[in-house]
Amino acid sequence: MQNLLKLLSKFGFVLLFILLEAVAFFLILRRSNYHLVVFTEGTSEITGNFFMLYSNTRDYFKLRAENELLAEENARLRAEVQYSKSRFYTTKAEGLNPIQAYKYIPCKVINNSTRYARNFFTIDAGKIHGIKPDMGVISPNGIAGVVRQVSNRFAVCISVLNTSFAVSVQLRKSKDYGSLEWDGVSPFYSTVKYIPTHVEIEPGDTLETSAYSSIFPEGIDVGVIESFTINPDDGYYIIKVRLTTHFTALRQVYAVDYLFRKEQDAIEDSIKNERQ
Amino acid sequence: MNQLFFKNILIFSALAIGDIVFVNRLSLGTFIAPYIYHFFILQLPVRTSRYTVIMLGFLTGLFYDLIYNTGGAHAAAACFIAMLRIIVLPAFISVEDKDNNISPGIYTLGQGSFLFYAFILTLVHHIIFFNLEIFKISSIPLTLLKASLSSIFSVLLIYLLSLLFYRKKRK
Repeated sequence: MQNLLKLLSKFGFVLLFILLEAVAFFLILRRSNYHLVVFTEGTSEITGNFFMLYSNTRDYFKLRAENELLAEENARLRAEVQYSKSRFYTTKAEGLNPIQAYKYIPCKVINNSTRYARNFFTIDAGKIHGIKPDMGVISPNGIAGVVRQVSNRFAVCISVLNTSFAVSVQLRKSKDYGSLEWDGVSPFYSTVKYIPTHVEIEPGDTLETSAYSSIFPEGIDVGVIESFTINPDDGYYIIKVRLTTHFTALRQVYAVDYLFRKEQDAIEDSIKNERQ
Repeated sequence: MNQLFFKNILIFSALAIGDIVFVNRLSLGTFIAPYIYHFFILQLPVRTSRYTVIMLGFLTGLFYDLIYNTGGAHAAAACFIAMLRIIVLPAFISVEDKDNNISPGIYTLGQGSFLFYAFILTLVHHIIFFNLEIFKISSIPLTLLKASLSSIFSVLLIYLLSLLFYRKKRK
């Protein structure tokens, strides 16, 4: 017994080391809820305020380019008003008037990363601005990410440049759909999988968000085909796509509020049991 | 004791600000992502107890995990090099150094041995961190390349910072 205690006092630090490594691995494996619940509100509020200060001082140097982009964006949005209403109609008696299906909440990216395997960005809008988890986020040029955690004034979003991000996309030409998944290498390129090989594609074709996603409206730009190969294992294309969003200069973005989300989720949940 | 305590808190804060505001925002391409915060673990005084070194390593890593949203990858890597430090450091210091309770640095260890010591620990830290971050066996060759290139930059940054902020002690 005494020997055991002696041994423990001599090599106790090794036990401590093993214990702490185990804790660290536990934290990694539950990364899907990467914030500990206790810390979530507090840390995102603190780091959010810090990054806000940093980005405020940086704002002035980028005003001109930013204004041009905004003007462009406004023009495009105006043209899009009709289209974002077009999916749902009031009753026939009222004469098939389109009603609004999507609302856009303008916000700015105040912290962003592109160098990790799992990248996130923070936006300067939160609960009190109407941001909710799982809202899509788009930039003037294309899709940017999905809202993950929300505090009162800030929200942390999963970037398209995140190896655990996947979204359904389709070819603008033929509407064949596949899945956009990032391989973790370059912030300018991503990969589209699961488009069958009978579909004719060529470099330069545009990919857009598909109608099957309740996160993004249909038809938002995703990227342009750069090159493609055929996966010999499953016979689907592996397509290298140049992303239209400039993730290294992400600034003005819009959170997409799908006004019929609750209704769609409710009816889809109601048959969930039958699927299993 | 107290003076050492505050000195280390100061070094920790300075490294945190430097790492988060400056180093983390350097755009050096996809394959170079340096970190300097682990210098805090490298420079802890040699007579710091082994428990303290490991605990501090873990807590430092956890602090950066919360800021960078990386789960526990920084904690695992930092805790690991804290353990490695306990194993390799005796090879670099003399009895006299131990009596004086020196902090390993370019002037206390000598440039050559400090750079060697820093490079080993930095490389191991980066290899573990990048692999845990991406968590995919197929990208191990890629992360090895990324870790090696990043380590060179990290050690270079640590060396430059040491030149700037440490003074040569007269004997």
